[in-house]
Parts: sequence; structure tokens; C-alpha cells
Amino acid sequence: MNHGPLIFLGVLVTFVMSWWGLIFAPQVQIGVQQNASLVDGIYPRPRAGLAEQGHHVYVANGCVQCHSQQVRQESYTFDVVLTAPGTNNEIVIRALGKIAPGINAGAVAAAATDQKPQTILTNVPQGVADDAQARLKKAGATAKTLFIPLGVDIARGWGSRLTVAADYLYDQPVQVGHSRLGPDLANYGQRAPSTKLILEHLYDPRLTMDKSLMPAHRYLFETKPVGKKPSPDALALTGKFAPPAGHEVVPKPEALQLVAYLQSLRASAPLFEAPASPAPQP
Amino acid sequence: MKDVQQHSVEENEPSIRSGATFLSMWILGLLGVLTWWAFSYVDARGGHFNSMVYAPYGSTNQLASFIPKDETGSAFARGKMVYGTYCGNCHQANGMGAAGIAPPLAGSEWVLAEGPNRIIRIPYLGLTGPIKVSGVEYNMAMLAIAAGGGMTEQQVADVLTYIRMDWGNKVAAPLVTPEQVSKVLSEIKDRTDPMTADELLKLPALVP
Repeated sequence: MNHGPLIFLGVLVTFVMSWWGLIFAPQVQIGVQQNASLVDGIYPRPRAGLAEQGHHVYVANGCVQCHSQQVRQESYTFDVVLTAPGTNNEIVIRALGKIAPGINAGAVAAAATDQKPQTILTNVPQGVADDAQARLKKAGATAKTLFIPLGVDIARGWGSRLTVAADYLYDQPVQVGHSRLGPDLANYGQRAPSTKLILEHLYDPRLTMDKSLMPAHRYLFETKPVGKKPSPDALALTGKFAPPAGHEVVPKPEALQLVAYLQSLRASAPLFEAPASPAPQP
Repeated sequence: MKDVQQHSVEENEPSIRSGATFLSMWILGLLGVLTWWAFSYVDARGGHFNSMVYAPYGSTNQLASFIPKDETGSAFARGKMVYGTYCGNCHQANGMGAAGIAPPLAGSEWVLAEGPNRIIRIPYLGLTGPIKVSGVEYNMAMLAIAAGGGMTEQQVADVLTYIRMDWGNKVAAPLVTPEQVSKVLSEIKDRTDPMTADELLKLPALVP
């Protein structure tokens, strides 16, 4: 019996199915991502030169082995804040008393301004928030509903919303990551310390964090004899981290590129597919 | 003992049979129920495989309900900020203007015109000479506040949308688009003199 054609067809169908499911369908689904235009410009933007080079340093050093760039979100909730009490104080205070009996309505109504929104309700479902907003509007006051994403990553301060495909538009290759031996870096640029501190952390992580697991990346730095004048870029190292006498530690261009890339990491602009209310200004 | 063991091994040896056997109907039914459940689970939570829908969100409609309403609504919100920066000093935050400084915008027939064709020109060219607003004659000069890139086209569109909606102003289609603004801009690109009320009245209210 000659089963050749049948076996060939079976193999073909198997491969076509996996190609369809793993390559073609995702391409149709998210292959046409575009920048979103937001009030303050487009998002995301291509990285500037040094940061783009730093992306290649990040890839070359395998940072992705320990650092992810993906914030997860489990659920969401709503807050209601009062931004303007309007003119009819009495009715607004009565409405506030009905919406949130626990708060000091008089003090809240007196203190509410655009710059200092006063929280009326926290952690309520959408219907309750919309209802409260409509009620206050009827009373002549202005209230805003804030959309608050929730999740362990967000609670850790790793981002304000979940990461979506549009955030990786200019990453080639994408560095989503698969394990978290170190912290997530999707929004590192927002919480990053000064350039100097990041460089020290790369030179030896134990300099800035006592029990860091991260390997030291000394090959991104050069230890050389001090010239006529000490270099302005040289790291200020003391104690057991100090270089031999008469030497200084200067970052190589790769280190500076990597720092520029790390500082460019911010995936927090509110998008349609990942809504988030901006954090209130302090 | 040895005899018995020998015997039982022979009994347990599988016999080779030919022919087919039927699948139990209850397994088929269970599989059907499971398949139905799986499909409805994906249907309820998959967002129709839309690239804009990520867990924990369920559909684009749900996401849209989180966004501050429609384009008119967001233009209103942006326009209010623009108004506070550029317009509110003279026309006042309540749109009532002030005697000797600026005519009112609230209830003004110029703002409430069917289309924004006339009022788009005012921030770009300024306005001078006598003008009648809500039955009162004013005679002042307004600066060309948006001229020379002072405001972006988006900002002008947003603020005009805003003044056509706030303070009780009601227009059938209040949204002014940046496209309308740039269309009018191309018509007035050679002009530097301020507009006058008479000239504005000769223009159609709707952007052609």
C-alpha cells in the first residue's frame, strides 16, 4: 500500500494549521498597530539615537533573561472626585451626604477646586460612579470619574496600566521577557534615579542595593590611569569598590547608551485599549 | 500455587479481535457540552479577538464607556483649558465678557450661528470696528491671538467647540474640526487686516 500522498497531506495540514494559528492570525490581529494621537502628541514615539543604540546593548547583554517589560493588570475600579462645588452649596452638600454619608460634606465642598480635587468615593463600580457624577451635575457641581487599573504589578509601582502591543511598536526585537529575577522595566524611565546612580548600579549593583542579585557589568566600564585631570564622567567609588590608586572608572559609550535606553522606557500614556486616569498632581 | 498462576496469566491475555466498537453516547454528549461551554466562554471574554481588547477588559464597547464620551466631549474638555489660557482674561470664565473689555460669548448670535465659518476667522485675523452682540453695540479691537502659530489648529477648533457648548449655548452640531480650521485658513492666508462685522456678515455661516 502506498500511503505517501496521505502522509504528505497530513503533514502539510498540520504545518499549515500551526502557521495559521501562530503566525497568520496574530499578524491579522495585531500586525497593524499604529501610533495613537493623544492630546500631547503621538504615542509611542521612535527612540532618540542614543536610546535606540542602548536598545541593542540591552538585547546584546541578555537583560531580557531577568527583566520583563510587561505590566499585568487584573481588574479595575473607579474613584469619584469633586473638582468644583458650583454655586448652590446647600444642595451640593445634601447630594454629597446622599452619595457618600461617611465624608464631611461641608469641608469637601469648600476645599474642592480643579487643582485640588476632593475624593468623594473610592473603589466603586462604574454604575455607582456614573450615578454619583450625574447626581452632582444636577446639583450644579462638577465631578470627575477616575478610572483606576488594579493589579499586583501596579501595586508594586511598576506602572499605571497594563502593557499592550502598541507599547512595543518601536522595539525590534521586542523585549517582553519571560522571567522576573529582577524588577519589571516597562516604566523604568519614570522611576529611574539619576544617570549617575544607574551607572553605579550597572558597575556593581551592590553599590546601590545591598542584596541585589544582578551581576556586575564591569565590562561596560573602563578602568584607566587618571590623566592630567580626572574625567568628569568618572564614577565616585569608595571602599571595596574603589579602583586601584591612581586609576578611575569611566563608563564606555555602551554604558551611556544603555542608560539612555533605560531612561526612555515609559509605557504609561493612557490608550484606548489600556485606559488609565492620570495620577493627581501633588 | 504455580499451577494457579500459570492459569490466570493465560486468562488475562488480551484476545485479538477484528471489527469496530461504538463510542458511548454519554462521552459524546459530555464532549459536546464541554465544547459548547468553551465556545461561550471565549465568546464572552475574548472581545471577538479584537486587537484593542486585552484582559481584564471584555469588549471595545466596555472600553469606550471608560473613555470620556465622544470627540465633542473631549474637544469640550480640551477647549475649556485653551479658553482659560487665551480667551478667559477678556471674555471672562463665565463667557459674559466685560463692559469696555470684550463682548459676551454666552448667548451671542455670532457664536450660535449654524456653522463656525465666521468665528474661525476672528482669532486668526482679529476684529475691529462696531459689532452688535445680543442687541448691544460694541466698538473695540480684538487681537489676532492665534495668528502666526500662536495657537495650533487643534486648539482653535477645540476652543470654538467649547464656546459653542458652554454657558447654556446650544448649537445643533457644535463640533469644530481642525480640517474646517485649515480650510478657512487657506482662504485667508493673504490677508493681514483685522475683520469687521460687515465683512463677516457677508460670509456664509457654514464652512463651505
